[in-house]
Amino acid sequence: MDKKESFEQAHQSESAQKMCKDGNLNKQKRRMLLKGTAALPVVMTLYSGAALARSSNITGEAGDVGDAVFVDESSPKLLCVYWNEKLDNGAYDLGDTPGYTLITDPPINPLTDDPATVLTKKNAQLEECHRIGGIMISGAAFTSIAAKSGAFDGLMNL
Amino acid sequence: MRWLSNNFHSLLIADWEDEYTVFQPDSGKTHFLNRMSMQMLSFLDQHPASSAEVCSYLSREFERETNQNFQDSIEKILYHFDALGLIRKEN
Repeated sequence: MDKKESFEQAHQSESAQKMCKDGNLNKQKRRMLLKGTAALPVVMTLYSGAALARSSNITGEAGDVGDAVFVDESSPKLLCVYWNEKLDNGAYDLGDTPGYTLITDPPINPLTDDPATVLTKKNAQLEECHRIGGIMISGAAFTSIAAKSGAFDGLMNL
Repeated sequence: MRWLSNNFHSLLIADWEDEYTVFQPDSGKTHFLNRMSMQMLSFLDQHPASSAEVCSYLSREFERETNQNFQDSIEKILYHFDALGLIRKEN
């Protein structure tokens, strides 16, 4: 091991020790607070993320039409989801059981349309979705909402 | 005004040597309490009490004198417990 490596290892070890010491200090402070060293009542609450997530279907619009959900590979149709409320942070509350429609116009034929045309048509479908008051959602949001609400069960037959 | 515990029997309480984790099924929340907070909840489960009575009970239990700061802290925690649904006002 050369000098530089040795110095780096020693430095990393010092940093790790400091972090560990800082962590222990915080832990000690927290324990002191809870144990009533301050002789005052203390209550801290952990909010259940799962409970919050269950309360509604909140999602953002997919960032790009390439991330959006299209149904039916032979003739892709954009899954256009209706929202109940637009939140201050830009996310959408889709409600307990989100409503949706499939955008069919303009029709896309992956066999005859070249990739640029497919993209143009997908963007046109997105415009139509926005026009009727819907949003596109990502595959991840689709999976999460489908599992929680069963809202997209009707799509499983397509 | 008097306070009393709310659904105390439904709470799942674990004792970690004077620290307590309290799971509240009604809200799905988990609370971390120190001994004094737990004593407050337990006291209010046994009988309704005003904030002054809670103060007086805690000062006896923890052998400390009450002062305005202490009373204010108790009052604050009582309202916090109320907001969390752990206690309620007596009708």
